[in-house]
Amino acid sequence: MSENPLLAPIHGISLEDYSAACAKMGSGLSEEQVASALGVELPVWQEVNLLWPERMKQDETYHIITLFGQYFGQADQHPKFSNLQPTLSAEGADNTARIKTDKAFYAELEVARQVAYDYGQDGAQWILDNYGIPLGDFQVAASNWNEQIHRDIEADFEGYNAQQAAYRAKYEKFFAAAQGGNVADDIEF
Amino acid sequence: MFGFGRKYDNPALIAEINETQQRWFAFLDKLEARVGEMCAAAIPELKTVFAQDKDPYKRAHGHLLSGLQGQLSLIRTKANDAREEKINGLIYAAEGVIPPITSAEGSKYHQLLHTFRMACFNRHHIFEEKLHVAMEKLQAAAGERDLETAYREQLEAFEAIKDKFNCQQCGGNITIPKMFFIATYVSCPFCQTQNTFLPSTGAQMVLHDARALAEQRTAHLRQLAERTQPRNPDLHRQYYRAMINEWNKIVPDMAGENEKFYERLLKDIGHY
Repeated sequence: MSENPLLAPIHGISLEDYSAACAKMGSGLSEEQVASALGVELPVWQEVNLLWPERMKQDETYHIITLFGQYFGQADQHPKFSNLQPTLSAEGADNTARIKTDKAFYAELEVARQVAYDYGQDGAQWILDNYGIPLGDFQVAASNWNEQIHRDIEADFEGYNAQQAAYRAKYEKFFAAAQGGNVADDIEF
Repeated sequence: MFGFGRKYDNPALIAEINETQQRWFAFLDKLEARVGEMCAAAIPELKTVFAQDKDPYKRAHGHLLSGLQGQLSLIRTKANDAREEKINGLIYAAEGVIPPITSAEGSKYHQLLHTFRMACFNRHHIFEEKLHVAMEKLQAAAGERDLETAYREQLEAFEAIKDKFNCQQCGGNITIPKMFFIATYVSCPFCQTQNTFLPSTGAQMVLHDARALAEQRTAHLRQLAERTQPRNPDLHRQYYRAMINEWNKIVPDMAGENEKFYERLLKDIGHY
């Protein structure tokens, strides 16, 4: 067991449990479902949900939040949640599986989500509505791809930027068309 | 054989420089006018949406603001692209054809290009400043959430309901001893059964907004600390202490955790 007192379980809920629970709530599970999966009642879960973030605030090394991100990305493998999946459409289930195995698919949707926000939409909701991927699963994919994307950037910075710019241009065109254009489209040099 | 002393004259380049500068200024004038029109229309809308948005996180307002900021970003990109293509493009092309700066004729054309570059870049800097002001205006349009009123309303709501609970087991009347912000066990004074008290959404938001409310109450101390130059760590410590005190008053049950966080903030001050 770790000697770091900030990593000690809270009411029996470890950081691995807590991280997986957060991921699953982001994917649509209720607090009651999460508490039940962890074998505690709602008041215990809510206190745990209050105190783990407090531990993160107190940790000046950022070790806890780093581990949180790592465990969050492994939520699908957590034994307490393996039999508890939110209900998804067939297409949503396919896309949710794909975003965790297809890096290019994730990279494109990450840009699409950001551009949606830039056009005044709820990007996370747009992803859910159009691809059936819940926010929690999207964040799990982000957590899993993060390291590899950093390696890609180091290996080919220009190529990465060019790809991102291409995705951005595609979705800016899409969202601009949906709202009838941008406010300064008619102004030319 | 090297063309020394040969007179260099390029009236077409001079005309192109003048025309490009005029077009650049006119282009930025038009973009600024459009930014002004957009903000004038958007600010009342932002205020209305903020006031009418019942969502405690004010997401409808957030999305509207995000969309407006996105449009300003696109306008910025449009200006940057034009600067790169039209202004820098002309400078690079001209530098490729005019004589070296060390020659008398070359010196004249290089000076011309330098004046053009500075005029265009200065105009762009003014544009950027105006865009920044517009961004800030949009951001500040709706003002701050009135957390103090929301907090007082929750205190009053709690006073009104705290004696209206009955034990799930024996039906005995239970008085909720204090305001809770998360689901909590409350014992029945008659049969000792543990009942689960679920606070209202509004009460749960008090916990969520407690730090923001404490920061609003102590904003004058934060501003003093931030504006004082050279930086004075004592003023930052004074602000953090006051903010944590207010935070503890709003959610006393979190005082222990807040004090640990305060220690962390003090360490951060020490790192500056």
